[in-house]
Amino acid sequence: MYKSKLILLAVVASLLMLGLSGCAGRVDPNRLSRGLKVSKEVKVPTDVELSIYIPKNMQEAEFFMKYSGYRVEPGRALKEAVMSVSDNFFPAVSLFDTTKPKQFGLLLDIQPEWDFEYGKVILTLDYRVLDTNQNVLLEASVTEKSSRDYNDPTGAFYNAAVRSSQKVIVKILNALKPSAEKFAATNSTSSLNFSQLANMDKPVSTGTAFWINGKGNLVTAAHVINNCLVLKAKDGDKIFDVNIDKTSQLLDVAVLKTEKTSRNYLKFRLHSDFVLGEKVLTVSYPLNGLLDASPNLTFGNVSSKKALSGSLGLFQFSAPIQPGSSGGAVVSEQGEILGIVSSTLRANSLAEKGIIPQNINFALENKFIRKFLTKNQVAYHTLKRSRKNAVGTELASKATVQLSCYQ
Amino acid sequence: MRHLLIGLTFSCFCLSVYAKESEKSGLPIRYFSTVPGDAVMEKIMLHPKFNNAQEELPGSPIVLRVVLEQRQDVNNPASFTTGLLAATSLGILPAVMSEDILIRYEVFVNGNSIVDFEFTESFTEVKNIFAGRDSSKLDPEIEQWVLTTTDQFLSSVEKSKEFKELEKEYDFYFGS
Repeated sequence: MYKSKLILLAVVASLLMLGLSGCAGRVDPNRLSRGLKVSKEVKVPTDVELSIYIPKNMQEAEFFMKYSGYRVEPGRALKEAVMSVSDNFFPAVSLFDTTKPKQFGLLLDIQPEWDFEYGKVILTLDYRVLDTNQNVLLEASVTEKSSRDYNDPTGAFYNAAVRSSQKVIVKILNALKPSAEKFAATNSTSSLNFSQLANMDKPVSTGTAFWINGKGNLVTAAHVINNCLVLKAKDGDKIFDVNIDKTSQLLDVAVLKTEKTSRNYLKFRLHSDFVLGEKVLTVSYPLNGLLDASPNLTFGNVSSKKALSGSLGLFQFSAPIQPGSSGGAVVSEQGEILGIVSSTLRANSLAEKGIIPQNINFALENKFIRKFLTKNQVAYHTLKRSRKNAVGTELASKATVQLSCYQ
Repeated sequence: MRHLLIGLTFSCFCLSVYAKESEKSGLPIRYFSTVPGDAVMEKIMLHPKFNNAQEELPGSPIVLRVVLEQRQDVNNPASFTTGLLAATSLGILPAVMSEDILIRYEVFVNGNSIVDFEFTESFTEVKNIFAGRDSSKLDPEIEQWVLTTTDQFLSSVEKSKEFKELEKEYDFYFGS
């Protein structure tokens, strides 16, 4: 009796030590967690065509743990977990992609949120299930925690995602008892009303764009509109839908199409050259939520004709910019487009070295924007001669709109 | 005659310098890696498509990222049993741990992934469960496998439609 108690104690102590040594490992997505069971009435795997929507910014979420040298990828973990778990019960599952329309019988719309508490990762999945006609069939939320594993920092995110996805999928199966007859895939994801799918409560990001012709084309930086499910522009008091026409990720530029037209468009400087030290101004809509949505005008100079080493087609300017300024025009005093606000030097990484950069901002040069527009046959205008009496501030303010990106 | 010879020597020198510069035919790519050691980087940079890649190129919109992950498979019964024994013996007995090594080669353009190649392999390692991992170098067996994935990546990326389009676009805007 005493001996068996001792053995039991040794085993418990060993398990505890194993745990302490950090060997948590990844959970198996093919094995349901304890307490989860698919009802016997449900036929699994089911042949229903399931499409899963996860906001792009959540799919791509990642960060770098500088001191340990690990890259942690919660986005990849979430995507892999959701798809692996779903695939066990819905072999015809696909990840929603606006560029690859697909027929669907059920649509699972997931809005995830990560949180942390000491040693644990917490995942909350708010989800809705819609049928092919976009009727909401189910709406709920699940939360799962997982301990962090220092040998595999992404593992905790994966484990929390597997467990919560299993809860979601089991709930769908038991509540809806899906079959291909019951939920026939009669509509394509291209027919969806994206505004109903995205979280329209508040934009995930905002930026700036400006009119370049009287035909309803706006130009902005590509990173402003990448991954948006719904894009809206605000010009004065008017809010209207915007569609992406063409983009160049290499140049970080995009041209947008709208139903609305404006006479207040900006023109490009005919001769792309600009002078070092030349006065410039930017009009943009920075710090959405903090500042009221009103055009923000700042002045500066062309501080260098080049930017960071290795950059392509950028120049440096000093007019202050903030998050939300991206995509705005950098214009001359006469209101000619000289470039598009692209990026800024990150202060926090340099602050660690004791350097606080001041107004080191970058814009894509006029000549590359024009080359991009010509290649894509988008109309634009140039100024043969500087309008001496023109006031750049007024021209730029009238031609600038605020963009809001929803996912 | 002497001047002609000096001239010829000088022009040969200029030509060789020019040839060395023009040999760098690849895109200006920023290289970032979490793989310990330089073997992978050196191999990649020898390839004509990546001979212009550099670690110090902070402004480049094109990034090649090589990420190595080591995941212990504790669901493996052998790992569990030997781990249990090792823990019971306070680390005197080593544990036979099974781990999956994953390496991912990814090309980004302004933060957007355009091509992504992933390779995984399982390895068995005899180790003390309380000993820390030496993060400065790879086990020779793992390193050998990692280098084979580099070959596969280089041959795949060369054929990739997305990478070819990127090269074409770069040439259109920035080619001479």
